[in-house]
Amino acid sequence: MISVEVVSVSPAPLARVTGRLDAQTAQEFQDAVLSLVGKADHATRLDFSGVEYVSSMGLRAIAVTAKAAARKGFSLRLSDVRPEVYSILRRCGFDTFMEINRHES
Amino acid sequence: MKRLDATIGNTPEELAPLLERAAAFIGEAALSPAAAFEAQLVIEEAVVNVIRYAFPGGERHDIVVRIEIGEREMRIEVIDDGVPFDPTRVPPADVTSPIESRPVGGLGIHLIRSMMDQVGYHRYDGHNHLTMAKTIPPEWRKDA
Repeated sequence: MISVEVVSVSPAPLARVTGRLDAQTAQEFQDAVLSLVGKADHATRLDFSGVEYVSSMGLRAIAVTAKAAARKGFSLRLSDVRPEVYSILRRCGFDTFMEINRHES
Repeated sequence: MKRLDATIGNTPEELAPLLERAAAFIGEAALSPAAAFEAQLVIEEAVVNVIRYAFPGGERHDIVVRIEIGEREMRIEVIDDGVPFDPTRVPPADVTSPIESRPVGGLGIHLIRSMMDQVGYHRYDGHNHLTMAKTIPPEWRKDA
């Protein structure tokens, strides 16, 4: 199960993501975030505080959406990322091409 | 030693119940949610590869997942009778290039390698055996 709730499109695009980002849900996440990025014209922030798990298929979807944002000239940012998920993103070098803010407990 | 043997078919729908079962087993073995997180992740990566690539004919096959939790080590084995595939020979993933030129996929094997201490493969009696082992860190103990 994954939920992508668009909180704002303009002027500061923001969506709140909740659930597991895995082989079963990656496409749904990707479609929803690509739709938001398509409408946005500024850096787009995803609130990841509700994301409890990310596998390689989820990472692939994040990379696809980050590329789409880069092609439009802005960035995709992840905020409030849980420690376990943050560790996965770092292991795969995602912190080298996108801003990722870890959840501070 | 505690051990779970689970068999699923090679369909994506059977993955989520398997991962739930693995997490419950790890919890019953007195390991933390962090242990369950890592085990679920490496099992998903290994099993998704089998489902996607091991049976090009699309026929139904079994995939066996075995988890063993000992005093010092968690060991996970994934067994299938699909086409021979040795994940240990996959070249390292690109995790440093700029986003514009970086491939978007191919991180599953990278995650397995980076999370586990040992990753081994052998082909025996027409089956692929992928074994992944990790020394249990103190923080994985629920009573730590």
